Amino acid sequence: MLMDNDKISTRQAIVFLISIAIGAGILSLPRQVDEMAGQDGWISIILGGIITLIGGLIVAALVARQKEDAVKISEKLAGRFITWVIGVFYIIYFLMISAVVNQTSAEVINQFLLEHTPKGFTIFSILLLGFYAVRVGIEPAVRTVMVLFPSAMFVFALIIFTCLSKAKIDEILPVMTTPFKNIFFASQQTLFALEGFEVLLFLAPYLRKPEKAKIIVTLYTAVTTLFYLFITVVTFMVLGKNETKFFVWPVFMMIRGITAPGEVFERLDAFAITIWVVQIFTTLVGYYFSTAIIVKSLFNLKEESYLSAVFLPLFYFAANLPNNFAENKDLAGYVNYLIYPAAFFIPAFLLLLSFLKKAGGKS
Amino acid sequence: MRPLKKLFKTLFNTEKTEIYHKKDIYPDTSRKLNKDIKENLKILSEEYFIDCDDVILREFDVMDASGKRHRMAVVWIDGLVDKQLIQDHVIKALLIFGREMPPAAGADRFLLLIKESFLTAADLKESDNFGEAVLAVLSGDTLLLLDGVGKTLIISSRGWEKRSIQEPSTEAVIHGPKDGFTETFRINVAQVRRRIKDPNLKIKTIRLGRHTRTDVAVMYIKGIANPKVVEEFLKRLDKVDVESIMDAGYLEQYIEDSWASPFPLFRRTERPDVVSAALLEGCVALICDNTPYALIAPVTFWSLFHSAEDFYERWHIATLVRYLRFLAVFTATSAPALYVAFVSFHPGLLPTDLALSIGASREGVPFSSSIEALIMMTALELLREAGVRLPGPIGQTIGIVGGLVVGEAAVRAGIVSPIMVIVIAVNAISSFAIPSYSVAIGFRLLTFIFLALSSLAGLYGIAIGYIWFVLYLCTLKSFGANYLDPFVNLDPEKMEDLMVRYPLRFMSKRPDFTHPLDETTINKELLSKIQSGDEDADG
Repeated sequence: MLMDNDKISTRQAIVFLISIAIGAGILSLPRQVDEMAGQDGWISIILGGIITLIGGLIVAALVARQKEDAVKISEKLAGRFITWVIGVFYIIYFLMISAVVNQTSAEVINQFLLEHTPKGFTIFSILLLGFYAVRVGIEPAVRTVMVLFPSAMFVFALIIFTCLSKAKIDEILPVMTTPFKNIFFASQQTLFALEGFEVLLFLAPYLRKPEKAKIIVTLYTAVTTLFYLFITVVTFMVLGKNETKFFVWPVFMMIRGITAPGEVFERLDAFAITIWVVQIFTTLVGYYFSTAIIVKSLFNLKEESYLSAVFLPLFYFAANLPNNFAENKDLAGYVNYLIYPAAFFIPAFLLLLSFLKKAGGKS
Repeated sequence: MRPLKKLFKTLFNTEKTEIYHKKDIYPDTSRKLNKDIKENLKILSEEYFIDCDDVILREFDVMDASGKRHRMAVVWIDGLVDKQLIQDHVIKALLIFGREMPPAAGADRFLLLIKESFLTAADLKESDNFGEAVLAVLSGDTLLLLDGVGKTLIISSRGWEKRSIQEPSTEAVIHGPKDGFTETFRINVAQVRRRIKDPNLKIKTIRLGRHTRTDVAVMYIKGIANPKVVEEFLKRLDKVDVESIMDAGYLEQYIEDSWASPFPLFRRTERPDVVSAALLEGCVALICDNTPYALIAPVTFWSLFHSAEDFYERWHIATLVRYLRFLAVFTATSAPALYVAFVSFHPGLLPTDLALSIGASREGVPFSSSIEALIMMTALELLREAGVRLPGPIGQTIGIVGGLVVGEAAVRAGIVSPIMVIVIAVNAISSFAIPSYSVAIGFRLLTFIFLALSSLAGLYGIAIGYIWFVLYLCTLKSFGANYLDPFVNLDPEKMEDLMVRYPLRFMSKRPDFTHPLDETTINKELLSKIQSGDEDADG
């Protein structure tokens, strides 16, 4: 009646994108950078943040110019065939990346929280919520993220802060002892944790002010990078620079080791994981929505909300592809390669086309 | 299949206008009164009011100065009118002072003479048809019929036995006004009017219900309330075409945004001061006859957690109480669920000593903790329901017998563990620490859902439950206001009344969920002076 139901404000878009980026990556990031860059791993995160910012700015420039989702843009600029290639690629990309996220969350919940519950239950229940979120529409879903994500982050930050009592600063000193090559390669591993901005490509038609996309990605990159930097540095300082790489999920091992102040709770890891489930949900909602929007644009449909029902079994099937931790790690490795085309090359290609088109149009 | 289809249709049909049979509830004005008083009386007593023994018809003659007799009659319903008023200001005035009446030329002149010079009653109206006249009698007015005139005078004489203004029973405050709404429409409206002495306070009255013909007033402040909200209110009320409106609760269910919501999309209040404050925030209030509370919309989830006293007390206390209510929401939804999750799924999380003492207290309890919680919660709901309906003294007995005797015995008999009793008690107390009863009841329902989820999947189930809960609340709207406003914006400018209740002198903005026309409460010139950095702004 008084408010349009499918527009999101700039502030909401920033929080939504951050909530997509912060999720499954928290768990393995300290291990990954420690494996390759040792105690200077945190520098690779800053480097990764800079790379993310470049990709983000490309996406933002494209969105601010065209004000439409990527599929519509490429339909206008590159023709039907390339559009289908791009669309199918993105669908596979989002399916794969959410499969990794889903499988990771199921694995962690199985190990730390519910030992006897089958993985299928945890995967399906969270996908069902994602389905409901897409079903009710983008605006209520984003509003939900606006409520859940800051509160989850607040509690999570509190838990991390209680870990600081065991932190030793000399674990990350001295700096720059690793060759720069290693730091650079490690920074490539951080992309999986830091990405999320490519969802903006599909969020564009819902933005109230798409011209502010640059501000969105800049703030997004700053917050995500700082958050991961903070987590990684604390993990290094608590667990030790040499020990971090031996843990599968170092952050939770760190949290497991502490007792709540005042000994209200013996351990905090289960709380951290419960909070983390919320972050996983917000991540999945972003991917779920993007997939729905791609299909909607490919087939020129009016409503995307019913499509989510089609995706539920698809996402569930994808999430069950990797069966154990090792297979999931392999899949995550492949997905890491897919990030380059998904978040950098395709947006850059479309941006280039849009420049060319404009130049062509003038002459 | 057909009943299934019908159910599906009703469940997913959001615009349910066609289930009502549109029929005009306003009086039929086409049937005109006759000139002859005998004809009129005959129609009234043999058509409209046949077998209505409470209708009283009294005929009398008034002799004017020239000695000419005029036949007149008064009609009213016994018990609905102020008899003293009819006696003193109608019958007495006409019979005694009528003799001084000069002979009038023509019927209209005669009517004017009676109306302007002889009837001493305060409020008079004219009508020329049966529809209006009959409705007026039914509403407690008195008709004065005159011979030879095709019109009747409607004398406002409503005066029935009514409850006097009392302290609101569900929204008591320690410091603050103690007058509450009653069942009488006019008194309720006047109580609000008395607080806002401003011609911009508009009151639109309509009648609803084909049989009950209940008066409903829509109140708003012109210049603050968004006209679109007011328009939407009137539009939805206009669509309500039902037989009866017994209580504003009927109306609430007919015009709310979502019928599926367990939480109210209107704020109910018994307090005129709350209504006035809400009107000044840009809300629209609805006062319904026979209802001792008003409905306020648009409303947000958070505004249902405000009590009138929050704004009368100093801000430190009011802020602290807000956090207490946050805590109450948390324990009201998930105290039993958390207990079950800890005991059944994650005992390792508890401090060792506590885990041991819980284990010891559960020794001998034959049920799993979720069944135990379910038994206790059901017992508590039964106690609550029994206590609400019973008169005061017996209600207390129920509390003592149920709470103390049976609770103690159940623990001794080893059916439930003592810690479970504590958990359920904390849960119940929290849900009643929420100021709005209708919200508290919604939370009682949620407790069961959360219990089920946590019995299934422990803390993970509770997390899933909260995500679903917030997602659901985010889909709700009340007259254009997001139900979870202002949490969903995170706009620092709109936080004035959220985490901290600002001291009143710094509270300069109306909440924006009402989309008010006038967004600030302070003087505009003053505001621009402050913004332009003029230091002598308060001069």
